Amino acid sequence: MGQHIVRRLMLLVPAWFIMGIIAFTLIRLIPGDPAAVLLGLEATPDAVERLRERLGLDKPLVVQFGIWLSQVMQGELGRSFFLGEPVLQAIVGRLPVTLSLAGLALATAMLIGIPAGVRAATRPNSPADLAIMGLSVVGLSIPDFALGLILIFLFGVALHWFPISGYVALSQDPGAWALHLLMPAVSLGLVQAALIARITRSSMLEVLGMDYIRTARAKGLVERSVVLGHAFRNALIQVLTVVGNAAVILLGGAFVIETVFNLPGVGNLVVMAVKRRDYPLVQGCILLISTIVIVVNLVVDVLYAYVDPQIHYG
Amino acid sequence: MADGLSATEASRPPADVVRSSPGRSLWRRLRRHRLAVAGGTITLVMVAIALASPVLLRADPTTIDVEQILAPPSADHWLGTDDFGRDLLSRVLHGTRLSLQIGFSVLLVTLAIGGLSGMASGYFRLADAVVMRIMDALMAFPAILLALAVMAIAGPAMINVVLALGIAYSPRMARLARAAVLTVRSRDFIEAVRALGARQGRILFRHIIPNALAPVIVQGTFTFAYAILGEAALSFVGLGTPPPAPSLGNILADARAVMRDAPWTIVFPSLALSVTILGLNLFGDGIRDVLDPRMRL
Repeated sequence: MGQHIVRRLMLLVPAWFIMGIIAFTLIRLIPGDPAAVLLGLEATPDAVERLRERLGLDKPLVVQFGIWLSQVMQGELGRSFFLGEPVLQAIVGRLPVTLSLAGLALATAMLIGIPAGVRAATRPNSPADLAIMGLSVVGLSIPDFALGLILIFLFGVALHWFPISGYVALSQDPGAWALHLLMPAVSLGLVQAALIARITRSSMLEVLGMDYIRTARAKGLVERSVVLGHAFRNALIQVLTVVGNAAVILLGGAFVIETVFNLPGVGNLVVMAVKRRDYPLVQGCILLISTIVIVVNLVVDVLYAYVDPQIHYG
Repeated sequence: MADGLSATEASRPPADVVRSSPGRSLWRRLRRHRLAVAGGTITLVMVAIALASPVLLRADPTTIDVEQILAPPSADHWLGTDDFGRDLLSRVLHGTRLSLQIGFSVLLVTLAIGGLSGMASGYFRLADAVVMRIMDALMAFPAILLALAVMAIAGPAMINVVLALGIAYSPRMARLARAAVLTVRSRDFIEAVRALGARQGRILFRHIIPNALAPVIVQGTFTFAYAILGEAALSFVGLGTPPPAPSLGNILADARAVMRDAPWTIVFPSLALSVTILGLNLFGDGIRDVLDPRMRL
């Protein structure tokens, strides 16, 4: 197991490396002197000269990349032009918002998607199945931010049930935290719920058609334990893959919902950084988000082994 | 369409007759698939409306009318007006047209980058090692954020949106195209063609690619839908199609500020967006059922 994790980590190195090259190239692709670009408009010629030296801009690109990479490894991602704080600090400060949002959205997606998919699979082509599958196609077709706007109008503006923007930290007031995040999480999670429901249904249907399920029924097991104990556990592998994908998509797609609900998260930060051409910040966000995504993929991979004893690593 | 071989079919080389015109039997099966027909019809209607909108509409989508700011739906303005007094119906229709245009352009870019490189790496081992490493790395990153990163370099312009989304959706297309080519090239009839002395180019273009197209077509339909969603999301946060050109995303971005007084400004663009995506999703599902039952979701 441990060996497997190490091997997976080794495989992730090239992925991370390529994202690093993209982030590195980003600054170099922009016309002009990277040092001037990195320091922004108000930089003194003196400061630009110093940074040029530190980045080794007179050296070959490969050497520059090496220097840059070693700085990144030390957590030195530069300083944001507009926020006036180190990039790493800016991102880490906003990470809890995005992680809360993505976590709650994933929970919503799983809580709705998995039971709906199982239910649909146990009675294929029944009215319940058709309704669930119909809803899931519709759910897949409504963009999350449009759903968010409609929820804001219905439950925020018209009914005043939920606050329509802003964020309260979990440590400060758990109730207010949940209240502020509920609508964003539902808008973000519903599309993924639809996807999870579809995959759950199809993999459950596949498993339910197998011989050992007939055996389980023949030996007189209650239907409930056939479905949940025997079938679902084996359908879980495919479901887990989708859930892992969903986690990545939720982390990445959060920026739109964060904009809709004015949540001060990393997504909002990325959008602002791109708009203001705050290149060190854009670079830092790309690196950090790809690192998180890679870690999520790793976690999903390790979970496979727990879910399915047939998978042996190492 | 009568059964039996038509003149064109009969004159085709033997290699194709084996599957008795895949295009035509696909069309027959597709017509019997109710969801595919529904999705195809929705898509065609949206395309027709979008194409006809400049002819049908008197109102210009960018004409500002200060006396009609946030007017509710009426006989003059069927869907009401926005915060600049611009006719919402005409903005939504132009936005839909733009969405479809961008979506289709993105699809072409994705096919050119992802489709071709994927097929090449399925066939040539050397290409495989390089291309797929890069594609795998890109795939580990959420597509929409990748597009955002490209927009950061390229700056806001419509052509850049198309390129950014095209690059972002290419890795998935490449992986699928590669897998499809790999499956086909290991089949017996390819071995047979090779034994008959066919040249590389002929094997690839005449035999492998036509038989590997099914998953690419399916993925293409979904890419079309993703691209429309992606453009709308980018434009919504102000990093996509720049105003005043009406895109469904930036119409909704404008609407966000005024929805308290004018809920119609969010309802109708959202509806247009959802219906377009729904049509493509249903059509994609249908075409997948017909082309490749094993790929069922």
